[in-house]
Amino acid sequence: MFNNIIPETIYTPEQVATMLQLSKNTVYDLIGRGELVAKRFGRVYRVPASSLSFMFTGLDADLYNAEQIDKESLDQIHKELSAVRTEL
Amino acid sequence: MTVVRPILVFVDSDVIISSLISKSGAAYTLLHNTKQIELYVSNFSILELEQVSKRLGIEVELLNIVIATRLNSVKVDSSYAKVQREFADYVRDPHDAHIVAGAKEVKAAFLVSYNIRHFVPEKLREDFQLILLTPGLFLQYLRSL
Repeated sequence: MFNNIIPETIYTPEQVATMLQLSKNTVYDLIGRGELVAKRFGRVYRVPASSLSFMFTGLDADLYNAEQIDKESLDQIHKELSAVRTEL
Repeated sequence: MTVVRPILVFVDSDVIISSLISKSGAAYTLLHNTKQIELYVSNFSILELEQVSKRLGIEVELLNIVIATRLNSVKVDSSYAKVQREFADYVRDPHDAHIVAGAKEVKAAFLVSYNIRHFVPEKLREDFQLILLTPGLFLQYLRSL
């Protein structure tokens, strides 16, 4: 039934607070203001890793990772492009 | 019936070359897994794409397939030197001027590049209503629609 669900790391607000060196209250404030996207299950929240990625990079985690893959070759690409453009 | 107009996007050559190098990067996703957009390059882009592909050992046939199946081409009817002069205010490196010229010719809404530091985004937006984004940020924008 859940075969098609892509597993994603999730965190508790307490774990997020530790990671970001913030107080728990600040994390709950961020969730309350919608700056940090979290899913509420009854009385508790869970924060997907993608929310943290988005908060810091403006990109969902998969898009951030995809850009990082491209960036591995960019120095070489720009070097060659630059050389070719001077000859156009 | 509402006709949804495609978003016109001019793509810098670094993005196209990136898509030929990795199938798991954002550039590949932009070129192969997006709908509701039309991607454009110019005659100048095609010239440089062919040369850069050769220098990087990328099969030119792969590039030709991408150009034929995924990209629209627009002709910038001006010399390279003239384009450099005309669009000098929009770029930090005059050798990137032809990218802006192509985007203007298409009347593109977006210019997608990995080289965003080489452009002057405020002026592009002000004069041509052209928004400069990296592939990842543009894909993020598409998700928000």
